[in-house]
Amino acid sequence: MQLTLLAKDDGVTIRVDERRLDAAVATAFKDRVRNLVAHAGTRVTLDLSAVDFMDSSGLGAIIAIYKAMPKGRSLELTGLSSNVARVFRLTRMDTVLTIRPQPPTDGAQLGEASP
Amino acid sequence: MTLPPESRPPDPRPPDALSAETLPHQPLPVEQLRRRLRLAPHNRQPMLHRIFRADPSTVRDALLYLRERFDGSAGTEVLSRLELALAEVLNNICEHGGTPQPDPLHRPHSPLVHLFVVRHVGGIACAVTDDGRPLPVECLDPRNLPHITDEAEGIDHDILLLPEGGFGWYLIQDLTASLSYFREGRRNFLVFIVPVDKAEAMPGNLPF
Repeated sequence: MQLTLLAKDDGVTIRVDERRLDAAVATAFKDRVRNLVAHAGTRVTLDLSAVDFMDSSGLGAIIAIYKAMPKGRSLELTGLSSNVARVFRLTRMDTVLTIRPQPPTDGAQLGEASP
Repeated sequence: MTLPPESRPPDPRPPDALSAETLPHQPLPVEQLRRRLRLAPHNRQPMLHRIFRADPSTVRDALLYLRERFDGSAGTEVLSRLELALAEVLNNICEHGGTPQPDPLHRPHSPLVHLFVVRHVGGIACAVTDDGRPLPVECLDPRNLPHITDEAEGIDHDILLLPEGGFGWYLIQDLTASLSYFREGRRNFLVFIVPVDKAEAMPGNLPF
């Protein structure tokens, strides 16, 4: 499970450097991101642009992360491929979660988060 | 990805045999040659039969193989729906099909899955069989999404009530047609079609 943390003015972007967000990695993904969120600023963006396949276990992990966001912090999703967007759309979770169309290009890389 | 021996394509010659002398043109990378061998021959329809123990990593391998095998046999949209539907079916087997066997070592029993996929007129036909626990019949009942309240948009206080699971069978039912199930002996049999409409069929393939 490879994630990259990118600094922004008011928070962080967590870039998911995995092509598949499936049952094989969902639990590790959830735990790692929740850990990172605990030390993040007020606004957390999950950049999924590298992910080209997600199943319902990946979706469940993202919902769990969303539910576990500390009070006063927001979670936004960005960079959804058509495969990933389909899962959000079919389950209507696109009406609940905040999804932005384009990943931000600004921000300095803080460092690699190793598995 | 590790392929079972029976489905491993014959190895091309070792890389050193692919020299400029034997091949006047730029040699293809070995992986590309292998990939070409896995594709169905021209004007034939791809099919797949794979046997594996249900586990998230073997499921991932099977789906990656499926993607490669069916590449070009239908539109990418159809193949994506096929991959998602099969992922949900196979994940369910991993998660719910296993039983602790009363063997001396109390080893958990991971179901042995047989996966068949074949391009067919009107769609891609799938059969998944496994020797895990019986599928509860209510899984096949028409279903709605797990509860997202109507006022889900804009509610903050109900975030904790959002479901984290229960989407799998909803997705399977949404993505497939002719979904049917039976149990024979100690095996579950689940069969369905992922429909392919006219616009999504690829030229040179079955009508649609």
